[in-house]
Amino acid sequence: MPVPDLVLDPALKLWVLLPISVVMVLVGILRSYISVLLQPKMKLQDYRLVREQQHLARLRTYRRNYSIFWTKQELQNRIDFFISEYSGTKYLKELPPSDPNEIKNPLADANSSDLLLQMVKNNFANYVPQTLIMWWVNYFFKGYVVMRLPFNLTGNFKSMLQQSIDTTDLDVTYVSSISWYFVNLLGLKSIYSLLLDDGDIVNQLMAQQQQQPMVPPIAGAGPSADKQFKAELENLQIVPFKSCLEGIESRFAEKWG
Amino acid sequence: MFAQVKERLLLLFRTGKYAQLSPEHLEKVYQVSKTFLRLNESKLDPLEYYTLLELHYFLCLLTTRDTEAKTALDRFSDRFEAKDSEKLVVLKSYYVEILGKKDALDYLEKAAVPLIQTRPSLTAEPVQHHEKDLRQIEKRKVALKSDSPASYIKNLLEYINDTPLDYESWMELAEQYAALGEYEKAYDCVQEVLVGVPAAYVVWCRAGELCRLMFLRDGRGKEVLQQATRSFMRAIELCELHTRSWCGLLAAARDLKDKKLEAIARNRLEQIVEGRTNDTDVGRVREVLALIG
Repeated sequence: MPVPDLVLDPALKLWVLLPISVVMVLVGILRSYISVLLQPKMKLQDYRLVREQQHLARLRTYRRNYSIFWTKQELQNRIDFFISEYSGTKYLKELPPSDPNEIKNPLADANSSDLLLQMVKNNFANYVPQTLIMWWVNYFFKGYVVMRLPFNLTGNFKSMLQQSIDTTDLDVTYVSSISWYFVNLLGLKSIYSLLLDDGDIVNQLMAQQQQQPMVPPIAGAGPSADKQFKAELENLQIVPFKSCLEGIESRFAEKWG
Repeated sequence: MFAQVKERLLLLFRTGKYAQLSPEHLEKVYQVSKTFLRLNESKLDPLEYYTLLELHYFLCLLTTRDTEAKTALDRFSDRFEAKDSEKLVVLKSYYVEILGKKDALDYLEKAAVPLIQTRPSLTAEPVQHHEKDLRQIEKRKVALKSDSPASYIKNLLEYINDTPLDYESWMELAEQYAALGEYEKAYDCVQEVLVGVPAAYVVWCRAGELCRLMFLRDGRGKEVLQQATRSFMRAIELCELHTRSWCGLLAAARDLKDKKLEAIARNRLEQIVEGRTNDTDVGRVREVLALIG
């Protein structure tokens, strides 16, 4: 049986709908500035780490682009040099542990603990305001029907638009206060970009609100550098050699001859 | 118009081409950059603005406008703090260099001290920084502290040993070796660059030129010369309009006495001159053709 139209107090607009939106916009702006402040400073990297990583990357580029050499011998000479150069500990940031089974404590490492702290800070700046607003909306306006949409919707939208109102028969076009909060949470991007006038900050803000925490690599995980060097050297030794200059004369003659 | 000029200037900066422009051209670019920055400061986003300001700074230095360079530098210091920013220190060192090479070196030494200072940290053991952690400053020092080609090469090698992926330095090393006539070593360096950027036709062209130089120096077997031709062909395969490679190919084909190849290259170069595909190169191509013809 259809329910007769509800009569909504016009004061709801002024005292519920508007405050929720305004509070969310203001908190969003505040948060964007806080997150700018919380952004990590550029850190100076240890040159030994840079050296180690770059030499590893160098071996990798050799494995990818060996085809620029003309003869296998040219490549082989270099591989021989690399084997003698990289087999030792010359380019390692730190000497490999004497006990191979020893596992490093990731929290003792300055870099990874910084990363963890950064994650905590970001999450904090992200979750706390959202939880607070949600609590606030729920505390004051729980079960409020705040507005009616001017268009018809199918029943599937009921769970989205009428959270915290447990009436099965109410028309879907009525929106509850907590649902209005969610609509705001996901749909304020254009307002932010209007107010903040900076695409970067806005995108950051929206990405934060949609909450996909990235898991950064933590020190101590993955194979150690000396093992990576070994693996890369082995990979390099078994590359099937073929030069990109092979047959270039005929290719050239075909095109220009 | 705004976007086009911006893109052109940014490209000029990214490719480092501004360092090789002729004086008249440089002056023109300087005027464009000056007007552009003055008119569009508010329209540019900060990253682009400071990139263009950096370009403008170098343009000022290259056109000997010291005071204006200083103004640009001050704009950087308004926004960033020298004691926090390695980049700013490096930029400033170019200005100081005008006053004297030694001064610039002293300045870099002094400015590096606060940058590597250990900062207190609440969460972890404070990290001890080494002077060499400042890679940009190290690179700048290599250029400043070398007084002879030999010491320059030594410093470059030292620098490359710590950052082997810096292909700019590899190329510079190759040029230094080539200047000393050590073409084999130069060729090795160029190959190293090619491993990193296998599609760089300019580098392929340089490899070909070095091979040809080896041939010219000691007139040994045709093998090097063939390698030179192959390199030039590879460069042409990657970029058909690279006139320098075509010129190299023409020269190498002549040395090889390969009539067919020579004819192809000559035809192509003449087409380029007639078609005026690339205005700046046409004059030089004419010279080469006159020289070889």
